[in-house]
Amino acid sequence: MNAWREQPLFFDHAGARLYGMFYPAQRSITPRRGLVICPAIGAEADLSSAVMVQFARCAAAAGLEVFRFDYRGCGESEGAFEDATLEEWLDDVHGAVRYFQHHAAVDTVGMLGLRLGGTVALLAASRTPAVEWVCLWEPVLVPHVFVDELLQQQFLAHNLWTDRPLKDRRELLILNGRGVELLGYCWRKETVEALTRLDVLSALHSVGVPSLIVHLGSGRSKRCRALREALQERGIPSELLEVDTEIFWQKSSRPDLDLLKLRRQDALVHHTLRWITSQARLPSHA
Amino acid sequence: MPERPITFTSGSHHLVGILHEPIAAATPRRGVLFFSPGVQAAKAGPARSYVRLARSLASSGWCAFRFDFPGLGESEGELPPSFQVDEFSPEVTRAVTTAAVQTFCREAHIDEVVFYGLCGGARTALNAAGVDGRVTGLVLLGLPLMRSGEVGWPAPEKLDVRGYLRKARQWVYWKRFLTLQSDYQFFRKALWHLVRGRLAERSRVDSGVAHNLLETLKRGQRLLFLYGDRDPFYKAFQVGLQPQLSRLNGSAPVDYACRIIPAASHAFPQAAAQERLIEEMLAWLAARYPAQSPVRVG
Repeated sequence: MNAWREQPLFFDHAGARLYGMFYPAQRSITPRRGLVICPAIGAEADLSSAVMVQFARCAAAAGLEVFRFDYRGCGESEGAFEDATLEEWLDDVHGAVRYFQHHAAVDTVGMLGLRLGGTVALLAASRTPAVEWVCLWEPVLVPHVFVDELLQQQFLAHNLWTDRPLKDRRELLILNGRGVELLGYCWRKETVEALTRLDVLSALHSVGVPSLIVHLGSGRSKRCRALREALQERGIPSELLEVDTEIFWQKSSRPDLDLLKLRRQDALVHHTLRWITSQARLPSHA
Repeated sequence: MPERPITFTSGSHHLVGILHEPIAAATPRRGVLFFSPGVQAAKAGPARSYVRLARSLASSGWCAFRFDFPGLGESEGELPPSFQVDEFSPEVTRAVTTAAVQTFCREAHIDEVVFYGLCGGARTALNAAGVDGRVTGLVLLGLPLMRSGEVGWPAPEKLDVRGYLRKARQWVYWKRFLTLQSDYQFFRKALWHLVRGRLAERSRVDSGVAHNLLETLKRGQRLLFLYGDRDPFYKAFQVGLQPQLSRLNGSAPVDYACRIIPAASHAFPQAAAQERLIEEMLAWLAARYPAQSPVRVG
């Protein structure tokens, strides 16, 4: 049997037990280079987890020490999703980077984030001196639009399954309780409000780090291009990559969609690792 | 709350699970083994529903173990190209479940296990129900009774029936319909879903599922069915399966129950449905598996 070295674990950070999975590098490289993966948040995390695991394994095979983790209230970590705030999730990224640096004894750290995890990774990277580069897969760059899209999906689902249909998706924001239910996840109202008010570019602290911005899906993304230009104007090297792929973090109504194929994103993984290989100066990624 | 990750092997694969142990364990010690729902969710379950339930179980004195089958979640392996939606081969099901039950019983020091699964996880749990004599019950959520394509799933196109009835009384909307300005794709899809729903009510329950259910009951294992009242499989259960179960009940005592969660769909994504689901399950477990006395662990 092959030696399997993936290591699930819990670590303590800011009063919570957070879950992580460590993927040791399959090639010994000096200096030791690490990657922290920031998953999507909410319902998008459920559907995209297979791709994140695939990427972690490929990155480890390429020579990176890799750490996937769950924010508090998410995945396997402690806490209730409805209690978590955006600031806490940002802080959890810091906690994960610190724990990973210590646990894996890495010399350099990069980050990769998907969707809102990409937003969180971008913001955290600008505040964490240890982070040297960041990859953003279809990051949420206009959070109030992201919230609006979730509200629309929840509005449709709500009207489908209840006998008391709503007339407008914004009624979801004023239903009883301290949370807003969005596709099975109860988001704290303060978190939804914070997201709605968030201006990602203004929130970037000081100088950022080299970034790869990946637009996923068909066509071009004005927002991803705008982020690249904004970062370049600040003197931050950034590249834009457009990968034509099916959206793998949301449910699709297409009956012909092959769910098994959706769980593997070979082109995305390949192109991302090629950039990381050059950025982290790893021996060539095949 | 004590939770720890556990890795174990089945064949050539390393599998990952999370063990939940109660702070105050009931006597005797028993556990619930979770079967993940399938390709669209890992051992945390959709919207972390498995995590919440496992923690509720631990608070009530039960052990719980959630794990991923090979090729799912964080476990090693790849799903075969021929993988039918959320259904593993009998050989894999048997081997993996045996390993999971052995690991769970050893790590949690338990001798009695209840299987739990949602949708594809319910199918897998049912298929594996006979692998180990320590399995005394099954909790099956949204158990698919036929292939998903045979079911009339509600579609967003069916949403606004009242709205469309209102529009039918207004000439301006008829004008749009007759002058090719309406969305005909929408009407086509809505009609198709309506027809398919009617056809589904006449669909037969998968004979393999029915057979496994009857064998489970004959073995003396307890069964709890949980369905959302909006789950198309619930209709199939009422029409196709319940009469068979009733006939069995006449010949020998069998232990099964069915609980319906109001305003809940197939995967119970609604927060209120999840809370209700946890209540129903804990109540059933308390009734079927009475504890002698809670004992403090350690």
